[in-house]
Amino acid sequence: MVSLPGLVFSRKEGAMLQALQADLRIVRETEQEIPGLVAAVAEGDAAGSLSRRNRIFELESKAADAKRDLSTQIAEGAFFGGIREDIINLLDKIEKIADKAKDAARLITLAEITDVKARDILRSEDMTQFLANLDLAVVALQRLIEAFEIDRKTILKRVHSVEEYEEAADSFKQNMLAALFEKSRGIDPITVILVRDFVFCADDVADNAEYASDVVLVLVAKGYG
Amino acid sequence: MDETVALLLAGILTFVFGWNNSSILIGNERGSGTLSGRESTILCSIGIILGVVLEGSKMRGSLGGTISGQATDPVILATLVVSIVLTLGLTVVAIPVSFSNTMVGAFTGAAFASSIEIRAGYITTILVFWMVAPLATMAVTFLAYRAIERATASWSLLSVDAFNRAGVSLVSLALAYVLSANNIGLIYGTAFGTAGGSLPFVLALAASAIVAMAIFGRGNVAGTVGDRLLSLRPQGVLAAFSGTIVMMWIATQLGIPISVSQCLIGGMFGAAFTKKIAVINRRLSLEVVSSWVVIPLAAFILAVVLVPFV
Repeated sequence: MVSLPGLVFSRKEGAMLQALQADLRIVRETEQEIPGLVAAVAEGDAAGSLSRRNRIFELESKAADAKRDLSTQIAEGAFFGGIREDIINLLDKIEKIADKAKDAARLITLAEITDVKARDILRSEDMTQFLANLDLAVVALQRLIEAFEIDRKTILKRVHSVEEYEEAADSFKQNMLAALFEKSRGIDPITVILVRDFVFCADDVADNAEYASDVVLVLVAKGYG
Repeated sequence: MDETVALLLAGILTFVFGWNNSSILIGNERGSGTLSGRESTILCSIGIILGVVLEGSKMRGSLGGTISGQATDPVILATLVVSIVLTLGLTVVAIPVSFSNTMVGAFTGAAFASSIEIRAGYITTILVFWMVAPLATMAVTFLAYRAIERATASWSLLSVDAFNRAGVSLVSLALAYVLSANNIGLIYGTAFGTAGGSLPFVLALAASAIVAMAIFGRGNVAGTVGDRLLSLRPQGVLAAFSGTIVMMWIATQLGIPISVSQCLIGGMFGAAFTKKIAVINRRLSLEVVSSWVVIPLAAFILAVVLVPFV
C-alpha cells in the first residue's frame, strides 16, 4: 500500500487510488475498441462497426459513471490534502480519453466508407501504428498512476513516457493526413472530411493522456510540498 | 470577586476565545483538506481539555501577582470586561485578535489606574518575548519544513499524503493543547487568582471554548490566518504548527502569555521562505502585525477609563 517499510497507513488513499485505476481500466477498454472498429469500417462490415460502436458508447458511459462517483467521494472525503482539486482534474482528463474515443467512434460510423482509397488509408500501417500509439499512451498513463505508490522519481520518469507515445501518435497522424490529402483527388469530399475528423478526434485520446500526465506533474509539485 | 461573576465573565471570554481561534484550531485543518470538520473538532476538543487541565495552572500567576502585586477585584473586573468587549467586537468584524495581548494590555491599564505597582521588569520580559516569538517560530518552522521535505522526498505520493494527514492530526491536537494551556489558563488564572476556582470551573471554561469553536469553525475569522494570509501546502501547515507549538509550550512553561497568531504568522512566513515563490497577502499581514501593537494599547486605555467606574 505504501513505500514505507512495515507501515500501512494510507488505506483511504489506497482505496481511492484503486478506484482511479479501475476507472482508467474502463477508459482503456473503451479506446482499445477503436482499432477493431476501424478494421470493421475498412472491411465494410456494417454489423461489426455498429456492434463495436455500441460497445464503445457503453464503456464510455460506464467510465463517466465511475468518474462521477469517484469525484464525489474525493470531494466529500478528507484525504489527498492540498491536492484534491488536482486529483479531480486528473479524473476529468482521464474521462475525456473515453469521451474522445466515443466521439471518434461516432464520426467514423456516421456514413459508410465505400471509397477504396479511403479504406486503404484506414488499413494502412500508419493508421495501425497511430492507433497502437494511442493505446500505448493510455497504458503509459496507467503505469504513471501506479507510480503514485512508488516514488517521485519514478512518477517523473513515467510522465515522459506518456509524452513520447503522444508524440509518436502525432507523427503517424501527420503521415496519414499527408496520405489522405495526396490521394484525395477522386475521393468523395465528405469521406475525406470524415476520415480527417476521425483522425483528429482519435488523436485527442493521446492528447488527453498527455494532459492527464501534466496534471500529475502538478500533483507531484504540490504533493511533495 | 464573587466566584459566579468571575465564572460568568471568564466563561464569556473563553467563548469568544473559542470563536476567534476556531480559524486556527479547525479552519486550517479543514482548509488544507487533511481532516474533516468533525475530526478536527473532536481532536481540538480533546487538546483544549487536556491543555487547560494539565498545564493551565502554570499561567495562574501570569498577570495578578507577577505584572503587579496581588490584583484587586476592580482590576480583575476591568481586565475581564475590557478583554470581552475588545475581543468580541473585533471578532464580530472578523479581525483576528490576540487574547493574551489584549488581557496583558487591559490588566496593565487597570493596575495603572488603580495605582498598583507595576513590575516593569516582567512587562519588559513579556514584550521581548512577544518580539522574539515570531522570529523564533519562523526559524523553527523553516527547519521543520526542510526536515519534512527531506524526509518525504523518496516516499510515494500516497505515503506523503498519509503522513500529512497523520501529522496535521497530531499537531492539531498539540496546538489545541498549548493554546488552551496558555490562553484559557491565563483567563482562568486572571479570573480566579492563585487560590480560587476548581476543576469543574476549569472544565466549564474549556467547554465554553469548545462550543464556540464548534459553532463558529466555519465563520469569517476561520479563513483569516489560514486561507487569506498565505497559501500553504499541508507540509507548510504542519511545519508552521510545529514551530508554533514549540514556542507556545516554552511560553507556558515560563508563565508568559502569548498569542497563537504571533507565533503562527511567524511560522507561516518561515514555511513560505522555504519556497522561492510564495503567495503572501502583505496587506493582511501588516494588519495582523499592527494589531499586536494597537490592540494592547487600546485595551490599556479602555481599562484606565473603566477602572473608576467599577
